[in-house]
Amino acid sequence: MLIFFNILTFIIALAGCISLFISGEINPVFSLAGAALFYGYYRLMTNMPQAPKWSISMLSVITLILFLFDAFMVSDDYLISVANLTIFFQAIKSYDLRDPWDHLQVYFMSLLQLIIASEFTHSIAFGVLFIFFLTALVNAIILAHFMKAGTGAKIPIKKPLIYISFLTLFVTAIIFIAAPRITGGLWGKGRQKSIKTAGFSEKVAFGSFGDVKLDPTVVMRVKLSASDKGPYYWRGMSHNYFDGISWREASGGKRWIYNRDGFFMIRPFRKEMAVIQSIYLEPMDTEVIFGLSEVVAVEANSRAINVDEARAIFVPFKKGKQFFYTAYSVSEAVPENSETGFNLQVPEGIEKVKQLARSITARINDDALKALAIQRYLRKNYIYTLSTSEPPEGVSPIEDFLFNSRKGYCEHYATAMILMLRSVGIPSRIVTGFYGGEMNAYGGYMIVRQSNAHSWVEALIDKKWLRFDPTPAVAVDRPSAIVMYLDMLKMQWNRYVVSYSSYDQREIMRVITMPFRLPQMPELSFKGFKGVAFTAAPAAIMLTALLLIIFKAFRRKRYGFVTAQYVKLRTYLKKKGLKISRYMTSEEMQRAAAKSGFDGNISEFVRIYEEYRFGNKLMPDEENVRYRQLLKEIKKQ
Amino acid sequence: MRSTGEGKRFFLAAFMIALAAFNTGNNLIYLILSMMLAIFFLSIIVLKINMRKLMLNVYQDNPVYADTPASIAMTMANKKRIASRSVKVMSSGMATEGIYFPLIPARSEVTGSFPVIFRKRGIYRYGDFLIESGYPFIFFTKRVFTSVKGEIIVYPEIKDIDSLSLPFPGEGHEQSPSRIGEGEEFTMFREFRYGDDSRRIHWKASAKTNKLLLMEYSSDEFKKMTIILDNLMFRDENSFEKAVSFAASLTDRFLKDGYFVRLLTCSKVVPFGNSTEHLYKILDILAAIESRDSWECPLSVEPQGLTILILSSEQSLLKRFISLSDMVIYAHLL
Repeated sequence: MLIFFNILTFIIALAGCISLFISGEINPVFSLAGAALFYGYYRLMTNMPQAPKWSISMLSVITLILFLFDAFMVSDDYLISVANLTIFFQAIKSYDLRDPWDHLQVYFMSLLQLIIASEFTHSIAFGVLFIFFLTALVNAIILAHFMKAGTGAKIPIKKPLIYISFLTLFVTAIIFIAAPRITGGLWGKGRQKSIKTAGFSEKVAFGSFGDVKLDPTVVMRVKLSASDKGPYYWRGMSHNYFDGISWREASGGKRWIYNRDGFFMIRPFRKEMAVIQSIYLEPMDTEVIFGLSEVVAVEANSRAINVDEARAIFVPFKKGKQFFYTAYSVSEAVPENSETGFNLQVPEGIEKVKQLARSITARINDDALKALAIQRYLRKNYIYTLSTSEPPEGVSPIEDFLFNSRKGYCEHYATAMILMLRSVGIPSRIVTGFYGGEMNAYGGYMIVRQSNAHSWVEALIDKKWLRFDPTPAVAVDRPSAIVMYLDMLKMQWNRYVVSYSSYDQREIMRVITMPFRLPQMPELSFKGFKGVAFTAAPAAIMLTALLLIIFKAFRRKRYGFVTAQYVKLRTYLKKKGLKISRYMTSEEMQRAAAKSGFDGNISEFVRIYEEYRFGNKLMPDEENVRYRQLLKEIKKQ
Repeated sequence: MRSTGEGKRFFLAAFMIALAAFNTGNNLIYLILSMMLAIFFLSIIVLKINMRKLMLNVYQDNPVYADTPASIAMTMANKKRIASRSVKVMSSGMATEGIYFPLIPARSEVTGSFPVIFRKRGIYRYGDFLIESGYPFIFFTKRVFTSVKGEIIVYPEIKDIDSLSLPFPGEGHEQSPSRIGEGEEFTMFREFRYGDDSRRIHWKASAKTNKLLLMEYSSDEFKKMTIILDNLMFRDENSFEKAVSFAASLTDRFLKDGYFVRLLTCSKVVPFGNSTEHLYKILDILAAIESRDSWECPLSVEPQGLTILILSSEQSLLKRFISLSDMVIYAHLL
């Protein structure tokens, strides 16, 4: 039993350290300290003597000094420093495990490590570690119980260990699903690393897409309603002003849409015509959300969204968080009645581009055909590549692309087309988002990666914004089946654990209560009267409970335990209709109770009361239990 | 049910984690919190189930003597369909650490013995027992109080009186077991003499030795011993206890030697007897005997066999029996 107990402690300590390691935030030098664990536990399991106390104390002091050095000089982040500190302490503790309490300290330390790790990573590996940790912890605490009880004997305990472990997992899941949540937390700020994107800020430097297109990081996973066959242009933001070096959105104004139910209608649509996309967005460094063109409604766990003039959709406070939403899109182009604004703006010094545009569209009168001609020209005459070189000094990148290098990627193609369209008087803008994705057959959803980042063109033709994509198609490698399967697991983990929210709780409640027509569970939030009410109610209950505890403690302090129990009995008998006054002696009360049919328990209770109330002696533990028990038994009558 | 030190620490940690979860809204911290709450929840539920339908039965399986390690037998029955584990039974009245049952299988019972030491003789109630468990974890313990009916008789301590080197009069002489008589017990062969009953000739032995051999039997006049215990006006409780213990030790010692022993006190009298039952009859009396604050003792003694008188002091009311006694012991000298 002892060996198994030691192994479990080792697993728990290791799980805690690994959880920090996988977060990727720990300094490798500090991580190495964790390797000392192995030797420490090897010593423990081979019954080698534990390190002397003085050496443990000395190492602890050194570690604390290192912690201060780390906090102020190396990591410069208190949470990372604490994480490093815990690794050191785990390593030191592995040489100082003498009694079950030492093991418990290891468990608490690992718990702290898991909590810190959860702030840095939401990876599925954390979930795997958590299950290991839970199972080992439950088993270790059960064994600790037997060790504490003083039995080292071989006891058939395998079955209860298995049953209780499964039971704990099950109850954990139930509590996790049911635990009340406050959307977004209170003051806490997520520390999880966001995916650095390009193209989704107010100003986008030309050429910024080159790097992200090499990054295979998954940015979103999308479950589509069966009706749409592609192509999949996941529209994010658009920019309309190009100064020759960067794009920016110059229109300004955003429109706020509020809805407490989480359904945001951007423009009216027929639901049966809409393509519904359930989108799981990884933490990104932008508030923009994505959807197939044209997104007409969004359902999300948020109080409000805002939409800019170019119909880019933003969710406030989403930045850096995993986010789940449903987008409703229609394929018809949106009519545009407003002024063209900056959509015809061109930077100075692009005469050659203008000439080229005119030459391509010389014999065409129709705007749509002009746009198609330019698109065809770009697709046919230029080579797609991600390895581009800087243009010569004094030459704009677009001129370099069109007339010198003739090589580039989506940004080059789209910018070139827009400048040419604008040169022939067609309003247009650049749109950034993602294109395509891999269908994951295991989960029936699309995986969209950073490498799918794309920019294309929207041109205002016949008062409608039409999409053009001058970038030629590129063949992409398909990931293996096992990668897809693992991604499906990640998707499930993200959806049902990491992104689980009060919104999901309401949905579950809605489904469960549907047959009973009960009201939906409200969202816990500090906003609005409803939010205050639902926050105030549990707060009031907690406050009342606290007051009751204080009152109980006060009463006990005032009377002492013996008298407090006696007063409880008197109150109980009064409630039962006996004529008991506070001036009655205990004997009189006992007689009155006996007359009313209460059995001998009261006489014994009174005997104990008198003995310890007036006998000037302390009530021993056993008598205390008996005294309480008697009151309980009397109350059962 | 009460929480242990570890339970309080665990609860405090869970509370801090709950604050962190609410503050950050981080679902992974909610997951850890859920695990801790699940462990708490199961601590309570499993513990309650573990303690349900347990029946305790306590009984004395061997005689118990004062100041001597002994054991009390105990049966713990589990009437439910699942096994109970890690149950400890403690007695509130007995100086003992209790008994630990690591496993009580479903619908069955386990027995164990309960080490006890009673410092004083007397009749004790089994009294209150505490059934305690903290299974499965270490965060809560539950205690169930149960009152066991019945009594336990604690006999006076039996000491080795030979170590006192007391010269017991007559022992091994006139009352030696080899005395020849008309009893039932065969003692020896001897040669036939004139006047002997010819029916007692052992023909087989006579044929082997060519002599007429006669079978001799022991006397029916049994070895007898009377113990007179003074239980009046003992000023010192300790001396009285020593006197009682001495009386018990005498009884045990002489019964083992084949004596017929009787006990005479001012309150109780046990006539002659010689059996294990007789020993416990006397020990029962000695277990409960008390020193009386009285000057009256209706005891009258007709001397039979060896008589040992145990007196409280030189002024004892029973000193009138000194002349009838073979030996007088003063309790305060023991």
